Amino acid sequence: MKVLNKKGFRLPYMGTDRFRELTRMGVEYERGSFFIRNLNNVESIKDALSEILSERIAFTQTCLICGKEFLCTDCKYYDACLTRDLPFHCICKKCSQKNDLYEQCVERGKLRIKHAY
Amino acid sequence: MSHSEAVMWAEKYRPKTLEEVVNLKDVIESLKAFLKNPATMPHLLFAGMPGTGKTTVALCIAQQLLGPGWRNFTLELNASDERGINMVRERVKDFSRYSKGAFADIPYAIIILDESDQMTPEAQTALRRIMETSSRTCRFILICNYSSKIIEPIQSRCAIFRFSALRGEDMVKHLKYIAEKERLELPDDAAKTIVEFSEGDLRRAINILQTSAVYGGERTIDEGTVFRVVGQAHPKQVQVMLNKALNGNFLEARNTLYDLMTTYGLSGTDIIRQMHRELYRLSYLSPEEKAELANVIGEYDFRLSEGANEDIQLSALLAQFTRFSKSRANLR
Amino acid sequence: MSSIMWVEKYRPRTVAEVIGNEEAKASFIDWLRKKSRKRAVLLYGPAGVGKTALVHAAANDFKYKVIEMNASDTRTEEAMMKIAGPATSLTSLEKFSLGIKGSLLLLDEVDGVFGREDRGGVSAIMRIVQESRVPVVLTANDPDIERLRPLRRACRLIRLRGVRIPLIVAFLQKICLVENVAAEEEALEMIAQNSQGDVRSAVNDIQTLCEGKRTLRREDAQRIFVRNKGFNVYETLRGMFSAGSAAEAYKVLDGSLMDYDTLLLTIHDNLPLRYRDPEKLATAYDVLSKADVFRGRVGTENWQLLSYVLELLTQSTTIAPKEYQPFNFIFPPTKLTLLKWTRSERTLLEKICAAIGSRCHVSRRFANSEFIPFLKIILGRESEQAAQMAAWLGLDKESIDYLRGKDQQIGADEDEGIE
Repeated sequence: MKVLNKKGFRLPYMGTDRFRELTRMGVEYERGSFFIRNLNNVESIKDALSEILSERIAFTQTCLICGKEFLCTDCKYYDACLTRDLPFHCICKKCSQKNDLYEQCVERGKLRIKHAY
Repeated sequence: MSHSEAVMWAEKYRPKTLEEVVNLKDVIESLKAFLKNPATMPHLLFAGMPGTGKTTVALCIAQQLLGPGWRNFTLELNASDERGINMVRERVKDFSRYSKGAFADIPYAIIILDESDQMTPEAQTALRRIMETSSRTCRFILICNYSSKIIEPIQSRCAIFRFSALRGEDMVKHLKYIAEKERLELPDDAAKTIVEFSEGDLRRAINILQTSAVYGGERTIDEGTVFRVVGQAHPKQVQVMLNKALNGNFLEARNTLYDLMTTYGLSGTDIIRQMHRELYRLSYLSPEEKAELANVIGEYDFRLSEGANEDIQLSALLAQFTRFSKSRANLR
Repeated sequence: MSSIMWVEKYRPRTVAEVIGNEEAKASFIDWLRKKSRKRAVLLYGPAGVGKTALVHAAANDFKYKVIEMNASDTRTEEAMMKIAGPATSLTSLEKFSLGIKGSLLLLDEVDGVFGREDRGGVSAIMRIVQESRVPVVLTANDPDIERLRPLRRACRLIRLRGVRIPLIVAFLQKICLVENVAAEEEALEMIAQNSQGDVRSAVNDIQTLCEGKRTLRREDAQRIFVRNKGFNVYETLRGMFSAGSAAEAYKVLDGSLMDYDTLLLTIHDNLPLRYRDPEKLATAYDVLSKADVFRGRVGTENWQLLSYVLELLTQSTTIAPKEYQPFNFIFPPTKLTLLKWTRSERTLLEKICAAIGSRCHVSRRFANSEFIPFLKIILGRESEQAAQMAAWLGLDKESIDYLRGKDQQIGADEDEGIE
């Protein structure tokens, strides 16, 4: 299984057709590195990458509270999750032990918005 | 039309005037009399098997009666295309409204209604009324396979013309004529094979000819190619499937069905049509039995057009055939 | 005892309070704040994940007034214009598009508008999008983006997905805290999982469970949801085929997780295994074929016909209930059955037949059985002749490819890239 971070990952040579296909789906490329900003079609992207790399792909998750990257495989809801291994925000194992999770998420969210604008 | 332009030969070599039509001498003679005095022409009913020239003659009449702008004053309808008699009525109404303006130049507008025997008796009754209300400005040319399926009131208002199937040698002549024009060689054996497969339908014969020419890619049409073309278009498997079902062997029949749908890429409608055709060839069924099964096919043909899954409808049809075999066996 | 709906009470007031879909939230704010942006945005995703909530929350954060319009209520262009105009009875779009500065137009659930029956609804929306001077937000439930094609160019697309379980649990936890309910973690997990990402339904469910109670235990949640656990494929098939009556089979169907299309195809595969007797098989198949006909009629609109489909399915599996013998089920449906005749294929074929029909003076049905088999061969190989023929018939590339048997997905969309 290959782990990829949507903010930047490398791929082997894949030919122009595949490259164009990926770009059409929303993958971007800059100076040797691929990244994904538009997540509308990330399921298709994951499948395409899986084909290119001939391996199962898992994207890293970003923790809403501590901001760190982590994997879905440790999560207790792995089997039931509808969007597992896709590059979204979630709550990492460590942070999920805390008490007022929702409040923390909201606080962090406020800070993120403030910083952006 | 230049030779290099690729069009369907059935259209390209369709006679444009009545003079060009080689057979149907009696039909043509009678029609010519009407054309001399258009006001005397009643509605027409053309009856005959497919590919015997009904549409061709209808179009020739339109052209001859209405002159160079004939397309503007001719309406072509097919009963199976229109969803119900109301649509037919609407189209006829719109058409007669539109063509009212230029009636000074022409005796009347022409409405060609094909597949009219596929209309229910109720629909035909309504059609008769439509024919009546528009008879000042329009003449109908009804086309059908079986005149017996046309209701009496309509038949009595029409001059009926029977289009008999072309004789084998006439078809061969026609095919050879086309082959020559297309700069191809059509040997006798290939021509005979095409005629056999076409079952009296000249249009189908021409389609087979054209397809064989494209498929073979040679100057000479080879008999083997014809077999291959017909096999691809109308594979024997349909007959096989039918026999299996009638023998009570559902699973094998269904496998053959799947084969037809995947390997041969036939659509559900293709298959049902061919089943219908093959049904009549079966020697071990009595006419009553064939009629009963044809009814079942008809029912499922209808369901096919409405349903979501072709393979379900066709499997269900095969299942009905399988049941039929059992009840036959019980009667013995 | 609370008399207010919790979905109302705990509605997010700020963007930060909206749970899940961080990326979509960021993208939406980015769109809202940028001056040089596409005038319209389309938020799409399943029900209850926060599309409308996000719009209102963002409007609150960035001081926009939301002018709301439910597109599925108003169909004709005229009606839409009347509502879209501000309260001062403006009826022409020109006047409206001056817009009240600082407002934002929300057209909720535009899926309803893009059906076939709509008179002018589609063009009305497009006009609003093109001429409005205020930002326009559209929302849609339907993941079938195919139907929303006209909007692709005009809008930025933002997809929202089901909210993940840990986040829903966190949210429910907070609600329980405020409502003074002692809830077992497992109970919250069950509710979250059952909601399948739909936060709204999770909140409704927990309110239902907590009504008049101070504690929420695992067993409480379980009791309500045991039905929702759902039968899997084998349980469904076994249940339906072995049922003693159609009514009994219906109970199984009701509790099944299978979607009815797959079920229809699966029953089709398994009927000959269940019924060995041709008589019974024929009867069962007759019923199944009727079910398929109704399924065909449902299309995208006539959902009320679905009940007939389901009823007929239960009849098809219970023709001779006393003669049931266990058998090995075929599942998943055989490959052929997955080549089902899709609606778009059917429309394409109709288009081709119509083209042939008008050129060759035959009906569409006739064209289908008498011309298509030959045309498949004639156009089979690429050549100048084939191209000319296709042009003479008036066939477009999609039609030609179809006749050639190219295994293209008819009507497949190119996935949206970044605009």
